[in-house]
Amino acid sequence: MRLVLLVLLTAPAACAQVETAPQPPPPPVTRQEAAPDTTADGRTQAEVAVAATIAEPGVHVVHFWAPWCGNSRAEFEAGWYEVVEANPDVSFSFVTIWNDGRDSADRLARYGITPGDRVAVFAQPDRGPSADRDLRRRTFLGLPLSWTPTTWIFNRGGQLAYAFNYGEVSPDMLATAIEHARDEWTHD
Amino acid sequence: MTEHAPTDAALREIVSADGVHVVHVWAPWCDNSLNEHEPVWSDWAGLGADSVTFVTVWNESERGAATLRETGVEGVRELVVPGPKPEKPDRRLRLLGVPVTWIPTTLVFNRNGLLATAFAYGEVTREQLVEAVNGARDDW
Repeated sequence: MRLVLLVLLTAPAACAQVETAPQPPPPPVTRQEAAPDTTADGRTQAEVAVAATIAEPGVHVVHFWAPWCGNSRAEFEAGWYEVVEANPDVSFSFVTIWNDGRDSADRLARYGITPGDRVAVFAQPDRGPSADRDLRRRTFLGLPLSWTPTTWIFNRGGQLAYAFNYGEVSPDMLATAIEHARDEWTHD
Repeated sequence: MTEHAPTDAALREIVSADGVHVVHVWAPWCDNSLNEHEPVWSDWAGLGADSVTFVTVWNESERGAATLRETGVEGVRELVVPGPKPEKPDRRLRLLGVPVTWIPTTLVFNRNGLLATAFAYGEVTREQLVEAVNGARDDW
């Protein structure tokens, strides 16, 4: 994982040298306590959008990934798109993290997942270059993020039902969790 | 969403240790919680986790030890979040940074205190929990 991350983080810089003439260096990115794209309460635009989505009735999947992460790609290659297609009543929000603010929708499309009425693509910006681990955002909607890929499933108007914050989630695991989140349970 | 700092601190110390740690949130009056006891928790030591901690909540500040014994869950560590049983809309608390809006809720931690898996709705099965514990122990 670490090796893959290192290689892929350095790869774009190598490509840029080949594709373009020498350019002046970009302005330095500094640490930002409140990035311009955050709301007054500190939420990013991605958080605002996802919060609105999961507040709706039904079951909602929020998936955090990065195109440079082999575990993220392995999940998609295992056939996540089949679960997306098989659950037309479920919303899916694909949020890139630690990816310099790019949503990488084109990469997602390679795995058969494209934005639509119930499939949305977002990028969660960091507080500076994502290569600097100290500047990465480690929460989303107040919940902990410590691993990519991470998958959360919400129901009951935005309540967390399941969180998979480590390893990889197979299509079968995802389908089962969606099915269980859809179940009607009662309490005294 | 309420928090209880002493319980959180005690749990933080437990889950921050090396290994895989299971935190189970329940109440003795909750049928969904009790439904899990025999099939999932009676052999809690056999789950393969480095620790298992039951956190009793919304139970008028009372321990659930007697119910645990009666339902076959012997010898497990129990912590109590004090407070009354709230009405349904107010059954919301936060433990170790994770919202608990449903019991039973089961949390699995690894990497010295990071959340690996949360089952925060319905009832968990033994198979799901063992898979989560094993998965949390894997080196990715």
